[in-house]
Amino acid sequence: MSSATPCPDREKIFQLVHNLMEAAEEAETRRHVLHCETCLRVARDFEKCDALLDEWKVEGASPWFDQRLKQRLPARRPWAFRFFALPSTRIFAAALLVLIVVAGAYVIDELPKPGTKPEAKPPVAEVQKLATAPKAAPAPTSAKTKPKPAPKPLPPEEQIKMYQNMGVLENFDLLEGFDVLSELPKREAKDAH
Amino acid sequence: MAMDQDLELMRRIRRGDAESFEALLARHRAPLINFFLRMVRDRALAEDLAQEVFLRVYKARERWRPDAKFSTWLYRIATNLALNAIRDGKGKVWRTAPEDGEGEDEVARLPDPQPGAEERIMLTDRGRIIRQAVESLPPNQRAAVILHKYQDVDYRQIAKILGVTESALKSLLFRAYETLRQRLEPLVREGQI
Repeated sequence: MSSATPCPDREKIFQLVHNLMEAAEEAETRRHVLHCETCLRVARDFEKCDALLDEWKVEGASPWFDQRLKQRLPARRPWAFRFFALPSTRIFAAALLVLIVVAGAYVIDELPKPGTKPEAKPPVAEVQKLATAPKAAPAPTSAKTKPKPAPKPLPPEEQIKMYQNMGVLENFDLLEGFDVLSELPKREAKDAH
Repeated sequence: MAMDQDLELMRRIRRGDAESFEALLARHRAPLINFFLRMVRDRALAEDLAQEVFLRVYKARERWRPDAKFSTWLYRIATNLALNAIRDGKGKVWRTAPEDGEGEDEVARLPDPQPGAEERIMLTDRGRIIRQAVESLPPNQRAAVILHKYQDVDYRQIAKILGVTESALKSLLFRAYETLRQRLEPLVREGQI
């Protein structure tokens, strides 16, 4: 060793030869190696090996490389496809779809049901007749419920027949208009009160 | 400058400029194929892998962000593909590679009266010894040496590509070059350089 500083290890000499060192460290190592025969020989060995590696040559691409690559490249899609492929567009479309579904559900809910009949307006003549007729005590009726005519009392024979025939209880239209209190005698009604 | 050119090309490719992709291809085609030829040797496989890299670049053009150097990204994809191919045993498919005069039989059969023929055969043998020395390295060391020696990639970039620290990469390169120096010592000692 002919240099004042101690010899660096082989790895440091290798880093010097291959420019893998930081600038400050490189200057110091280079100074030593240039003045040390042993280190210089090591450095030369690495340089020779490096030069030998240059002899390994390879050729580049075959002439049909680009053509084959172009065949594998996905075709450029039209702008509309690319627009709808954007994430922001998809989010907007999803939000719009939800809005349409909600609005549709609301509208369907508001429409009249297929089973129900729209409220029929009384004919003009009937209305006029009612207007000219003497006013009876107005019964409180709601807008949707129709005033039902009072059931006519059946003759006694018919009433007996009716009770004899229990099947009448299945006549719901008749039962619907049956007023229990009107059937009771007045005294009993008073007692009931 | 070169980096800026790659970034500009990628920006244009992202906007759908097909010519910029061809320009990018022209810039990186040969180095990338040479990288794969040295990594896996088989020409067909090397070209397939290089095409795969360009395909991935093209498909990722929308997501690509210029955070890192383009070549670092490119070689990271390439190195991963090459290492996977070696791991899967695809790199062991030794096809006849016409570019480097594969096989003594082929060379011996060729009648070449030219004065440089013997010299060429000698060079071919030396080339094969060098190639075998590099190919016998562990895949990680092989990739590091090829990127450093033949692709001229900066060691800081190589560390990023291989996902190791800079000091770990320096040690990796040192071990690889030491192995190569020992294996190629007969050629160095012959004084043929």
